[in-house]
Amino acid sequence: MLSLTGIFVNYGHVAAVRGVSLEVNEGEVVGLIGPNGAGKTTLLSAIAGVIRPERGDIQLLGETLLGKAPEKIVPMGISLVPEGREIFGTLTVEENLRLGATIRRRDPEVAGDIESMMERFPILGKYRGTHAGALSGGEQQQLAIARALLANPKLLLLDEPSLGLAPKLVDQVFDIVGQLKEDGVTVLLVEQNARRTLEFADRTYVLRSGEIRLSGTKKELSSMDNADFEHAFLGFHRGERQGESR
Amino acid sequence: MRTVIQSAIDILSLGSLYALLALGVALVFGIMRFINFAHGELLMVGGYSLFLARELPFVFMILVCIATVVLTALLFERVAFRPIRGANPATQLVTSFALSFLLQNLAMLTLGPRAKSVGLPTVLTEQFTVGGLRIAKLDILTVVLGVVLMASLGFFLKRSTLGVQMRASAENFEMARLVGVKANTVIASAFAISGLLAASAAIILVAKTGTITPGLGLKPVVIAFVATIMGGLGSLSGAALGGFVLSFLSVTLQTLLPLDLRPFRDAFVFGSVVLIFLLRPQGLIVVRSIKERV
Repeated sequence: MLSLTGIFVNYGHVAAVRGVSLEVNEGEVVGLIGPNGAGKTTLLSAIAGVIRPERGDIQLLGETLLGKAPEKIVPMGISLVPEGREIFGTLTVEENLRLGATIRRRDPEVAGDIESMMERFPILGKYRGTHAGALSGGEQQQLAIARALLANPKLLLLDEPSLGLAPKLVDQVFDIVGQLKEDGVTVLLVEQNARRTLEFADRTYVLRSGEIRLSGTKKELSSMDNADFEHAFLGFHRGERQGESR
Repeated sequence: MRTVIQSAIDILSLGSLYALLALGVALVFGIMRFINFAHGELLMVGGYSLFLARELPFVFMILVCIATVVLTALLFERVAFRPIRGANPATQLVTSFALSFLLQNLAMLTLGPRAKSVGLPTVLTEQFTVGGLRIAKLDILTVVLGVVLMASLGFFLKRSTLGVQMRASAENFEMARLVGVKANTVIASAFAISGLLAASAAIILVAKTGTITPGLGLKPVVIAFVATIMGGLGSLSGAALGGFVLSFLSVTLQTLLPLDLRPFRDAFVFGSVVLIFLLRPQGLIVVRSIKERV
């Protein structure tokens, strides 16, 4: 469904992503994990059209996304739930949801879909007229996911949905993603929470310093030697001094 | 007592005009994050369009003025500002200055530096007396126009789909695009509405003074700029409030200052503005969404 081939992204002279290729198939939940600064968010931004890769190609169902503005990519079927949620805090919860359905102009089902989203996430129904900025972090995360879903995406990009949430809320977020998976939504999940993601995703890529270091199915990765996995993730074996391994 | 009521009317009338000016600047700033100093030249273009259409019936003059100014605003966006969108804010600011000077000089070249005058219907300039108060019809009209335009703008931003998209874009432009809001549509709409507000202000201004010069927009744009910043950049209600505060200072000082100081009224007005900024450097209404765009 989504395929990235040889993606390079630079920030000025710094290479943030170096030759990443990855694949997301329909109905899959694919995890993308890695330490801070690995280039995970950069990759999602490139897919969503916010930044333009130096080299490489990004295709959705055989059509390239390169050079397309974000607002052109959403109607093609990709919705992003960005890091930090980025809900519209000065707007009401309901307005945020309406904005989620921006690309479905003249779709008579939008109003009904917003109502059913409020049933699915009762907290959003309860606070529909409240300014979204007044919601708690977990509630804002639900709003951000609901907003993205209202575009009826084929592929949902989730950027660190558990970041900054209390453990109980992290469970809740993973439950929501689990539901999405059951509903057949294809998800590319970026996380720093490696263990949870490995348990959860059908397949996972490990990204470090802008390159894919490891990838495999849930089964392959779970049968892997712990030390080898840590080496891929961290770039050094535990017990080694970091300076020597670089 | 009579002076107080008279002043109140003046404050409301002048404040409505200032609020319209400030809203035009604030609306574009909200989304583009730069102050369009060429907003004053929209007023000038409006003034000259009234002059050029002076043979037409008054209603058509107004329609010509609105159409010309809105189109000019859209042209500003398309020709001058779209190519530098996303550039350094200083670049955008300087571009708006350049545009402003270009248009002023163009007007001077084609229409001459001398003031043109337009005779507007006497209905506008007449005064009537109520309980010993002399009230200009134009003042009443200005207030009504200001209230109607501000209420419509508020309703539009609150209720319409495009209005909600504009508010979302003003808060977080990138995220708005990520839900599918079309950048070009939202920005062009902001410019078009700012053009409509400028046209209304131009009509009031020309009706007040009766004359049109290439520098017509200079003072109004400074007032709009100060009112917008005083209101707390990025807040529309703040900008309108800033307009009324400026008008309050201006009218009050005009009444209270000793006769020989009155010619320097504006020095006192802007001096008070400096005081306000010392006390509330963040403006009258603080907007949380204003942050550096990375």
